[in-house]
Amino acid sequence: MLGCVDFDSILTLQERALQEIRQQETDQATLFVCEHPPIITVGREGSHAQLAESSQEFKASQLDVRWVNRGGGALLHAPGQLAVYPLLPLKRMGLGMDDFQNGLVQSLLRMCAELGIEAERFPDSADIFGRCGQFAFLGAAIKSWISYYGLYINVSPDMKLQRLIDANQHDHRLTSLSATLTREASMSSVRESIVRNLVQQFGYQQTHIFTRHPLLHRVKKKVYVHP
Amino acid sequence: MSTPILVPSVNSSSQPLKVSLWLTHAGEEVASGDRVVELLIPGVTFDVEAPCAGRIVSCECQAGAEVTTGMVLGWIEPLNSETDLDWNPED
Repeated sequence: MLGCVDFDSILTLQERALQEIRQQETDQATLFVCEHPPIITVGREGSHAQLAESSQEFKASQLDVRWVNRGGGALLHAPGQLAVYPLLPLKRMGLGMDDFQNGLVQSLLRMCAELGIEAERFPDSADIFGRCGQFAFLGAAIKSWISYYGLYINVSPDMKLQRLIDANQHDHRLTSLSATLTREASMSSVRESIVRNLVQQFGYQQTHIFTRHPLLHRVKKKVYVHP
Repeated sequence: MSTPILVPSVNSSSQPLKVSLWLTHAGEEVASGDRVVELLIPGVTFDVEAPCAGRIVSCECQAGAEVTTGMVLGWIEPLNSETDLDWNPED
């Protein structure tokens, strides 16, 4: 649970954790939970068509656009959106790619139920949506049978920023947990619930929680968006 | 003799897999375990590793193609020795 951290720093930290997991013989896993300063990432299922402005215009607004090697489409990360990165040794745990995908989706659905939100999985996809639209997104990757990246939950981000991209591939409005609940969703409750549900879903018994890492710097960033 | 790059058994269900993209190209030399091609199910990518050291001779399935376990994604011509990987025509 790391607060608001730079996208590149958490990527480096994931690479490092992935190498450590690869070298060990146990089924020990690592889970990074954080928020990011504003940045757009486009996964393997994304396209330029999802971006409301050109790369140059985003650059002028001080918003970086990065094409990354995860599943899912274009996403705008910003404070108020929870990024959850479980690094799991899938082969040692006897899990396939679809088991991992289902595990993430089930954890999200259980978290929603605990928060009192009716949510469903869109058929033949990993998209989670509620009565107001889509608020959770899968964007994970597996390298050497170890998962990295993961999932993103719009808890209460600035929706003006979110409208800069069309993250939604199934005509569901892009929304947040706060909008769905019609009250401010508590980031700490969402964080606690998704972590607990992921831990249970993937069968872990013992957890150790750290709230900082020497390689990470908490950051603030201003972006300029035309109304 | 060329070695096939096969779609590994990654799913426990019959969920279809797609080729996301090739991380290498024909003619490129790879080491055993290098990531050569990426597969995709909704929301998750999977990197397929080279089964041996050698030179990629062909990429059979292009990006977007639907594949199943055991299908041939491409072929690698194994190199005879470790030193072949260091061979440089300009030396």
